[in-house]
Amino acid sequence: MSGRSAGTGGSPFAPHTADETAAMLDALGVDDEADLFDIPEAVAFDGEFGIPQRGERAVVGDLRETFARNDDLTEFLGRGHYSHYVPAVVDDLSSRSEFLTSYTQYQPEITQGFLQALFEYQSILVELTGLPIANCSMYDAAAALAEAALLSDRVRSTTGSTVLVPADLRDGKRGTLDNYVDGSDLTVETYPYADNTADLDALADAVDGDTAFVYAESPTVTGAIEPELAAIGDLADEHDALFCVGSDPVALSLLEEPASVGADVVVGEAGALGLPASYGMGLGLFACKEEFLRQVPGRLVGKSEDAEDRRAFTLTLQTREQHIRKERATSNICTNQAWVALRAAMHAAYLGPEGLVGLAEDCVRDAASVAASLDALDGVTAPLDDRHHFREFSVGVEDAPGVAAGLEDRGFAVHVLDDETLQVCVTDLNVDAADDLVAAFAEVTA
Amino acid sequence: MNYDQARYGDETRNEPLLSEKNATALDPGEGSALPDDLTRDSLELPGLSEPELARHYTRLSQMNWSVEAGPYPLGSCTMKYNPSFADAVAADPNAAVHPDRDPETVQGNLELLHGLQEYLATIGGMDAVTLQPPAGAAGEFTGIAVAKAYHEHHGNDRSEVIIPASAHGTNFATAAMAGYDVVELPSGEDGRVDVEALEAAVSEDTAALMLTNPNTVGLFERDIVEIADMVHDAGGLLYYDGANLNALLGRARPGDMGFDIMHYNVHKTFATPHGGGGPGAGPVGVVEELSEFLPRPRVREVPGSGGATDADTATAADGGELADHSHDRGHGHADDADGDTEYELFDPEHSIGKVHGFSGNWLVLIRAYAYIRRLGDEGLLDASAKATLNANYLASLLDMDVPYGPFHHEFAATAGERDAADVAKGMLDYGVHPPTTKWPEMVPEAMLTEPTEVENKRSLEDLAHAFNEAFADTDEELDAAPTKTASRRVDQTSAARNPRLSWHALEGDE
Repeated sequence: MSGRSAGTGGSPFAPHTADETAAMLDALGVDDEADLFDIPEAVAFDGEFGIPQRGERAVVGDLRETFARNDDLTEFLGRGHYSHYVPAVVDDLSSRSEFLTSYTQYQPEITQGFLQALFEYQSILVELTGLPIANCSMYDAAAALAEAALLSDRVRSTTGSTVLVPADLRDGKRGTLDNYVDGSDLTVETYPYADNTADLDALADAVDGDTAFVYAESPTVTGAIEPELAAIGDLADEHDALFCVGSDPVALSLLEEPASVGADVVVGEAGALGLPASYGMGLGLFACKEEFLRQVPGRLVGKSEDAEDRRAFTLTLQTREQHIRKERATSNICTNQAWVALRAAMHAAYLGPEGLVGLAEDCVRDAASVAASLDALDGVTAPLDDRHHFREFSVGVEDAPGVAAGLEDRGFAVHVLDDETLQVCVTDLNVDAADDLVAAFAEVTA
Repeated sequence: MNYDQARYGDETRNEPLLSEKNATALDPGEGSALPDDLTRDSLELPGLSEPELARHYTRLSQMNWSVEAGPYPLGSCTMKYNPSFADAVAADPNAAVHPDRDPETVQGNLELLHGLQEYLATIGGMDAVTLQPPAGAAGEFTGIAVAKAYHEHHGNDRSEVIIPASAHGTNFATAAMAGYDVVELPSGEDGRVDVEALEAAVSEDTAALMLTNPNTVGLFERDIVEIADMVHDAGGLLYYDGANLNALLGRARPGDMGFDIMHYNVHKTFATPHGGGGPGAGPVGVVEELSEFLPRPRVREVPGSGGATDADTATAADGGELADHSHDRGHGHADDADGDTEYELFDPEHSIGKVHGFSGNWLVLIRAYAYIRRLGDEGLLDASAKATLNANYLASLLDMDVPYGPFHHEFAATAGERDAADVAKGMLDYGVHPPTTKWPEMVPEAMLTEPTEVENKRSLEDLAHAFNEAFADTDEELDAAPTKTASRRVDQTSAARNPRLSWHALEGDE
């Protein structure tokens, strides 16, 4: 018998012929593969999960059928998960197997390509944030925020134990933050928004000597551009608390750089570049000041030289990491989102500074224009605040769930915030359908 | 086999950085729709034409090793071949939706998530699974948070997590992150858990024991039933680190061994590409009494819908409140036109909350589901068979000593008097990636090797040749290695002493 494993009902990806298997067993002096297992009978399993083996074509067909069950809606959804058009060349280049099927760069000599790509990703974030250190990814914006809060607990300059975040923080971020700080001395408290950005007076009352960390977003969860970042940074600074700004790389191309308003840390969702709509998969952005270098969570790529004095890159400062420091590591993060970071850097380099700024300008103009069109409808108010907006804005209507259901029947998805509030997000991917959305709003609210 | 890796660039540098190819500075605020005080004054970034971009990244790719280029036998990392069909399925545009969609409108995604929950529960012998953790270490954190919530719910004040010295560093970091004191357990003389030492360590302070089985040198913990009883009798929980699950597929199930919580590294066991370090996904399975603490939301079948049967739902330890993820819009899709089973999200009653901003690493989960469906029972069983056969066959071909045994899917050879890291550099010129070196510490100068099932006899013999040739090289030869990679030996000390972490930091440096 010379058929490979797949032909004999085995793994389709084990390349052994029956003859090879027999020769290997013979060399080991055993009769059967099962004899190699050292598992007590009391806990042995018979292998019967009841999952049938299927051919490749059947699996692909099955899954396409499954996904075809999703309704085809034009999405005007954002609130932290943003999709822009990703150039086809990004898909092609990032799918090269040398990138896609590689591993962490533990042997730098043979993984220079990915190391350089990650060094470039770090560099792009350094430029966008204005801060000198960026790591080569966290899981998502929620994890990045939570790790930033834990960082404040580790650095000597802060003495407090309160983490201050907006009351309007997205649930996924707040929930993740709560879990991450549960094992630390930190407690999470909130400050209110006024007009969809920070209520500066209330925040000033909330910040005191016990504050370790102040977090502000721009754009906020409803897309408002925060006008008082510098003042918030000053409040944090007065009480020796870390100031952390949440944003994304498209917004950062245009908005004031966080370093210039006093940010100590910048976090956010970098998947707005390079990552298509992916049901919430993310790319956590993390950048900080130089003084926190040895407290940074996650991997860092640094420049070095090889034995020929040629420039070379390597993972560095690994003594922060759990495979060396174990329970004294800065974080338990090991696997990260390196491949998504690669895609983000490719997308940024494809757009260049003019393309990035142009995309960001569109995010401002299109949101304003769609909001104005909606606002002109009877019974619709948009936006619900007096702010500048980036991509998205909140919308007041009489019966928000009813309006959303009517829009869904007409092929559109929007957020429902409460009984009287919706939220609409406009990007390059849905702006062409914006007039149809406005028309549908008019029908539903008539 | 010999090997020459592509390298580009001149005498002083490899392929130029993006910033060295083209960088432009501009004032983004100029002509902006926003007031000047909200915009930045400068932005300096590279922007490449598409042909330049294609060449840059193609060159970088050619300076990078991957599992599709050759063996990648990093112990405890399980780097398998990643089948292409799973990539094709993950790229299905119908699956590319926003996570805030009304659940009724994304029944396809929920069907897949539910199916994967069920597959993983069955494979692990667990009752309920969450797919939210975005990596194995995130799964560990989720699992320990669930254990902590369980103990707190029952009014138990427990402060310690016991971890064998040979365990992955993430276990220690995870326990510390969750606020536990770590009790390190020395290995016994046979490389396994020292049951007497465990007995001494277990107490009413024990929240959990974190264990990998087979352990990090490929040894099955034969006393697992006794170990589980010992921990349970003290009121602690048993946590299974799924890093080595590939060795056990279809042979034994953590749930049957007495584990209460486990994580699955689906990017390892179920072969999804690891993309240079991530993404992965770290679903967590638990026994029924812990299911109410899992992260929210979870997916379940709508009772009475379509094809739902008692048999289908028998393994799901559901319960809990219907999640408020869908507003009552008075126009439900109660009857799916095709009579398909319908799915809904719900929040477990005492959920720990969220461990990811949205729903985890979706594109990885799709691939894992597709992979499990492709393999089926026979394929899963054969994967563990060939992984174990390969490890033992490769170990038998090495000139180095390989302590302990018998092995499952991995083993730790010792370089003895040689420096394991140097031997690894010597191997790089032979067209293979070297194993994990200097870990675990229980084997001196360890070379922790895991060939996985995707190498055949000839490939293993080539791999053994690389090991043996490098091991036989003189110190001078090893010091000079590697010679055929894009870079020669990289100075990691100077990189750490003088950190230069962005191209901004290189200005004036070169």
